[in-house]
Amino acid sequence: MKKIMICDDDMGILEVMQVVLDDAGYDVKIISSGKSIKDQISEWRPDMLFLDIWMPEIDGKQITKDLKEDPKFKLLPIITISALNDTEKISKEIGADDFLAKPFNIDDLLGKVEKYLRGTP
Amino acid sequence: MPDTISSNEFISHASHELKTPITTIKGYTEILLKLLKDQPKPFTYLTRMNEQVDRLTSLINEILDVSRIRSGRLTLTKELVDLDKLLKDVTIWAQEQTKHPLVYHGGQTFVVSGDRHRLAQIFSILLSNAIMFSPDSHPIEVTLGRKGKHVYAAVTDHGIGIEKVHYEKIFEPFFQTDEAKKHSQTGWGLGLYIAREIARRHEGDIEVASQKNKGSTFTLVLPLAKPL
Repeated sequence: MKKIMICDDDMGILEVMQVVLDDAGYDVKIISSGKSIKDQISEWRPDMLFLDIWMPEIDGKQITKDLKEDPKFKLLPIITISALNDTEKISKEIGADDFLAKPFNIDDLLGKVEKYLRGTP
Repeated sequence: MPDTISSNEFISHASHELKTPITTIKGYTEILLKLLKDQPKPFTYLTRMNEQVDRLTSLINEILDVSRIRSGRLTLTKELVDLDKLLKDVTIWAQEQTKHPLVYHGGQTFVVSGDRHRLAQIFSILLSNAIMFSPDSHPIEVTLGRKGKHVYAAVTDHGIGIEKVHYEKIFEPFFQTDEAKKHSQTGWGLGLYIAREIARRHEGDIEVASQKNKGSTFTLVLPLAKPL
């Protein structure tokens, strides 16, 4: 079963994304802080990561840059999720693989997963 | 929040905070729509809810756009854009949302220097208005052509029309004619203001020609890109 990690400081969004991706047959882990994200990725080994750009403790932009510069994580697909005005532009600037602008449709969410995990849960 | 925060910053921050719970509401609404797809009444009510959630998102985006325009912070990411392809794509997307027949007269490549998403937004606004103010069965025509060093894209409807005295006023924020208010369930008079401001930031403009009770033509005029 493919593994998807979601990191967002909003519990409502984490829960609704988990319901959708659980139902679609993926193994989902949600985390509400990016503080120890590298350790969590090393331990759980997800196949893709949804990451909020704007979080209070550690900025999702910095996390993305750090992960993409680290040889251990650079191949992990990172999809930024954000309600910021220029989500697409920011996502490109920081080197994320793709983005999902809040609010998004369930089909958009599943479409991103299929794109990076080739449709096989 | 510090006293010195600008209204633009406030709106930007507030819109971010509003979109977060909207994402959760939309997510659960769509989950329920899938679960209850075989139950006509709940499905219909949830569809209405989902439409209103989308409307709320559009309103927030319009407020953000007006705030950016007024503070001079509407940024354009310009590239060479084939207007024929863009217009065709937006027309196909709009046709999926409406029963009005949309007829596209184009097919010739015209390249402009512009922000692809913002230009698509202009056509989306013009088509949405044409659909909103036209009787169901009447076709809406989209025409692309060239006038000297400019390209024009005209959206023509056979709807309620606009009196000449209102030609300029309809581009002012929050202005709606009394006729428009009667026909529009969702508009609040920001679309044409945003569309014209985007057009003007592309060194272009939007022109209107109309006859009351016969229909209107809104024409986007843009300079053609200089050959490389």
